[in-house]
Amino acid sequence: MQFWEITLKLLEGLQTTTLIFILTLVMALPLGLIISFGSMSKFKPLAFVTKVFVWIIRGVPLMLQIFVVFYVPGFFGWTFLDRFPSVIVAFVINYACYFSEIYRGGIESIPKGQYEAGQVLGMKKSEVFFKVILMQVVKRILPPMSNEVITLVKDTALARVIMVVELLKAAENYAAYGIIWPMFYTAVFYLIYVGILTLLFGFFEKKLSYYKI
Amino acid sequence: MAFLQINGLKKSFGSVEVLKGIDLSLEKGQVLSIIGPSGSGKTTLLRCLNNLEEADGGEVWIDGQRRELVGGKTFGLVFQSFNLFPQYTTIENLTLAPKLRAKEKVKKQKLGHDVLKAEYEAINKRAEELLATVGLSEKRDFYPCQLSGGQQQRVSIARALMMHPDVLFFDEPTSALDPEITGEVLKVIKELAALDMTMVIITHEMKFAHDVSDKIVFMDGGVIAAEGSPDEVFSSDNERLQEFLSAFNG
Ligand SMILES: Nc1ncnc2c1ncn2[C@@H]1O[C@H](COP(=O)(O)OP(=O)(O)O)[C@@H](O)[C@H]1O
Ligand SMILES: [Mg+2]
Repeated sequence: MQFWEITLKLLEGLQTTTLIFILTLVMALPLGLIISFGSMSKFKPLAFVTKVFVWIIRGVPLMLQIFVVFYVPGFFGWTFLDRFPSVIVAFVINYACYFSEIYRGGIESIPKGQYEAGQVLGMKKSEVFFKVILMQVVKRILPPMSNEVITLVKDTALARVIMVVELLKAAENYAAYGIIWPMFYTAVFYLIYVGILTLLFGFFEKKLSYYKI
Repeated sequence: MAFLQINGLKKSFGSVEVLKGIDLSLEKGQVLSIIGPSGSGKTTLLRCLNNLEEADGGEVWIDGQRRELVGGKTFGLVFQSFNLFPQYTTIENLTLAPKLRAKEKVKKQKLGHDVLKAEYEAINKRAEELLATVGLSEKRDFYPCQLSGGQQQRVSIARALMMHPDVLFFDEPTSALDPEITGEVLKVIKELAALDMTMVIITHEMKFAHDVSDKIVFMDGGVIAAEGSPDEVFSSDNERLQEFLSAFNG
C-alpha cells in the first residue's frame, strides 16, 4: 500500500532529521557557552572578534552557510567534507552563535548582588557560579532556548539544499513522480516533533517555577 | 589600638576621589552608625572593607592584625537589597556557604565522611538557632519570593551571622522596605547589639542610630566631617551636619 510505503520512507528521512537535530544540540550547546564567555571576555580584542563572528553567522542565511561549508573548501583545492558532515558543521556553528547570545543575555541578567552576596559569604568564584548563578541562568534562558530548539527542528529541512535526504527531501523525491501529497504530509511529523518538545520544555519550566528570580 | 581600626582609607573611581582618607576605630561589642548625604561615599567605604572594591590606600586592622593577612577573622555584610539566593529555601540560604567550607576542610584534611556529617549537623543547628534569633523559625522552608521584604532582610542578617563575623556591616538595611516594616529589622539589629555584636551600620533612621549606637560618624564628600557619641553628634554645631539633620526633622 502506497501510504505506508511512503510513511516508511518519510520515517527514514525523519531519522536523518533527528540525527541533525541531536548532533547539533549536543555540540552547539557547550560550544555556545564557550563563545558566550568569549563575547563577555574582559580581554577586549577577544570580545570584539567573537562579537564580529557572531554577527556574521547570525547575519547570513543558514542556507548560504551550508553552501559555504560544502563548496568553498573545493575552491582552494582542499578536500571536500561530505554532504552530511557539512550540514552538521554549518548547523553547529550557526546554532552555537545563537545559543551564545542567549547564554550571554542570561548570565548578564543576573544581578551583581548575587555574586557579591556569595563573595562576602566567603564562597569562591567557581562556587558562586555553579551553586548560585547557573540555576538562575538556566531558568532565565529556558523560554528563549525552547524557541531556538523548535526553530532548529524546522531548520533541519535546509539540509536538502545539498541533497541530504532528511524528512522534507524524502517527501520531495516523490514530487518527481507527480506525487505531491507527501510534502504536505511531512507537516504532521514536524508538528508532532515540535509538540513533544513544547511539552518537554513546559515540563522543565514548571519544574523550575518553585522560585522566582 | 581599637578592635576595628581603619587608617587613611582612600578610593577613587577614575579621577573622582570618593574616599579621601577615612580614619575610624571601634571597640569590640560596640555599634557604629554612619550617616551622611547620598553620594558621600558611605557604601564605597563598606564595599572596600568587604573587599568588593579594592581600596587605593590605607590600612584595615581587626583585633590587632592587618585585614588582608587574617584568616579566621571575618567580616559580614548585609545589603540594602538583601541578595538572598532565590532558588534556595531560607535554611539553605543560611547553610550553603558554611557547608561548602566544611566540605573543603574535610577534604583538605582527609577526614572521614562522619566528620562531614557532624559538621553539617552543627551547621544546621546553628542555622536553626539563628532563624529563631531573627524570629523566622517557621519560615525555614520558604523560598525568598514567599517572604516579605522585612523577612528577607532578617534572613539575610541570619545568613551573614552564620559565618561568625567579627564585625557585621549593614548598608542601609531598611531603605528598600516599606516604612511600616522597617521596625522588625531594626528590632533584630538592636537585639544583636544587646548580644554585643560588633556592628557598623549605614542608616538614615536617625532615631534608631541615636538609640543603638555607641558612636556615630557623619560622612560628607568622602571625609568624616563629624564624629562622636550620639548625643554629641546630634547636638553638633557643624553646619553641614545640622543642614543634613534638619532634613529629617522637618
Ligand atoms: N563603581 C563605581 N564607579 C564609579 N563611581 C562610583 C562607583 N560607585 C560609587 N561611585 C560614586 O562614588 C560616590 C559615592 O558613592 P556611594 O559610596 O554609593 O555613596 P553613598 O553610599 O554615601 O550614597 C558617588 O558619587 C558615586 O557616583
Ligand atoms: Mg549608599
